[in-house]
Formats: sequence, structure tokens, C-alpha cells
Amino acid sequence: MSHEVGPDDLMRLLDGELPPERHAAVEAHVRTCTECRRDYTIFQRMKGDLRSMAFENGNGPSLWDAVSRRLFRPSGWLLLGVGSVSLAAWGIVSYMTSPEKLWTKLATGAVAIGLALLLLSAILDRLRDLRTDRYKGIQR
Amino acid sequence: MESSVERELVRKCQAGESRFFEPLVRAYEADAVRLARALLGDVDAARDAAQEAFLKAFRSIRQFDASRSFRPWFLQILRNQCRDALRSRRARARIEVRDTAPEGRNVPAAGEDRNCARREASETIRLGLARLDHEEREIIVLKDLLGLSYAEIAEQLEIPEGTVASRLHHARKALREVLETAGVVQP
Repeated sequence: MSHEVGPDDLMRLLDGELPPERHAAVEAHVRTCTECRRDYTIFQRMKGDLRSMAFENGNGPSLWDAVSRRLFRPSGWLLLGVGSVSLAAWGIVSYMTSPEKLWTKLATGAVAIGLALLLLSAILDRLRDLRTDRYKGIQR
Repeated sequence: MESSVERELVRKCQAGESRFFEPLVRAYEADAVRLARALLGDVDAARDAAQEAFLKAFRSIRQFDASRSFRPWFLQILRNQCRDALRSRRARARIEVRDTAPEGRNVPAAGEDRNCARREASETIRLGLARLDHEEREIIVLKDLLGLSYAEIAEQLEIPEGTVASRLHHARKALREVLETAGVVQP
């Protein structure tokens, strides 16, 4: 395009972004210049195909279902956490103040602490593996 | 969506009333998936990215200036999300070459079912888009798929408005060359 109408003008004409005072001149040029008319027609067809492009959006549920689930999930975890800690604390206090023998209390406490430590170390191992797992993104 | 309604919804969300986020999600989810699909190439990744972008938008909605339009702000978040997704996809060397377009493919023959021809043209364009640079693909998608004005594109890409036309020209020229190579557009 080596004339008074440049590629930017052609784009602006195509997209309806030319100022009114320039519009008529560019349009007239495109009508008479073979090279510009050919370019304009090709770009116009491409634009048309793009506009009508039927990108499938997936027939799944609206994104809102998934978004809302994830928005409310932290509240669920928080309630579960607070509830569990309260119940555990109440259980421990009740058990420790119960008329059971001391050695029974100590043995039960050791079992509970042991289980908690094992669970915690398994969770930490899993988290460490996740951070370095090269195949975590692979969908099976 | 009317801007006054949108502003009101944003204000409610900023006040912590998450149920008012639903109309915003429903209003922009189609655009979001369309944009993400064009940038990422497959619909599942697009839905994931759109979902993630909506969550990020909600979590940072308190920092959003409610007097501005929600759409460009959200699209910015989504574009960043898509860019991150592409980056991590590359980092994991999981780029799937989904180029199934046979070389020398022709425009559907005249007389063929119109819908079928349109679907085929869309598919060819989509494959053409996939071969462009991210920046080229992005500007074409913002203009032709989402119908943003030059001013809105300039705001999205943080470039001067005068640069939009020349960037669009380069991007469309690149797409045209890809389609010509594939035999879809006659040089």
C-alpha cells in the first residue's frame, strides 16, 4: 500500500473506527484501488468468520455453580475446623476430669497423640511430594 | 448489562454479599469462555481459566473502583490467567500440538450446507489463530471475537490507541499468511 491510504486506514475502515472526515476518502480509494480492495475483501471475510466463530462453550453447567461452590468452600472448612477443635477440646477436658484411672488416661492420650503425629507426618510428606511432583499436571 | 445495575452489584459484592456476584458471572461467562478458548485452544482449559478468573475477581473486588466498568477489569484478570496457564503448560512441556488441519484444505464447496461450511470456516480460523503469537492472537480475539473498540483494546493492552490499528494490521496479516499457507485464503 504505497499510496495515501495506509494499512492503518484500512483497518480502521474495516472496524468502523475512521473519523467521519476521513471515512469517505478512504472508502472511495478502496473502491478504486485493486490492491486495497482485494486486501479489504480478504480481511473482511476473515473478520466475518471470526465474528461468527461458533466456539463451543461446553454444554456443561453455568460457571456459577463451580464458582459458588468454591466461594463458599472456605466457610465450610472454617466451620468444620472450629467445630472439630471445640469438640476435641470438650472431649479431652471431659475425659481428663472423668473418674477413670490415671494410667488409662495416659495410655489413651498416647494412642491419640501417636495417631495424630502419624497423620500429620503423612500429610506433610504428601504436600512435599506435590510440590516436586513432575507429573502432577498429567491428566489420567 | 446496564452500567447502573452493574455498579450496584459490584458495590454489594464489595460489601461481602457474594450472592450478588452471580448475575455478574452469568453476564460475562460466555465472553469469558470464548476469550479463554481462543487463547488457550481447548474448552476444558478455557472453563477452568474462566472459573479461576471469576474467583480472583471476587477475591479482589474490594480493590476495584466501582465507578468503572466491570467487564474490562475482569477481562484483564482473565487474560492474565490465560497467560499464566500457557506459561505453566509450557513449563510442564505439555503443549499439545492440536494441528489436525490437513494441508491444502479448501474453502467448502458451493452448495454445501451453510452451517456446515460456517463450522468448517470457524474451525480453520481457530487453527489459524492457534499458530499465531500470543500477542497477535490476543488483539484479534479482543477485536473480532469480543467486539471491543480501539479505545477499549488500548485500555486492555495498555498501549496508545493509535497503535491498535497497526498491531491489528500485523496480526491480521499474520493470520492471513497462515490461512494462505493452509490454502484457505487465495493469495
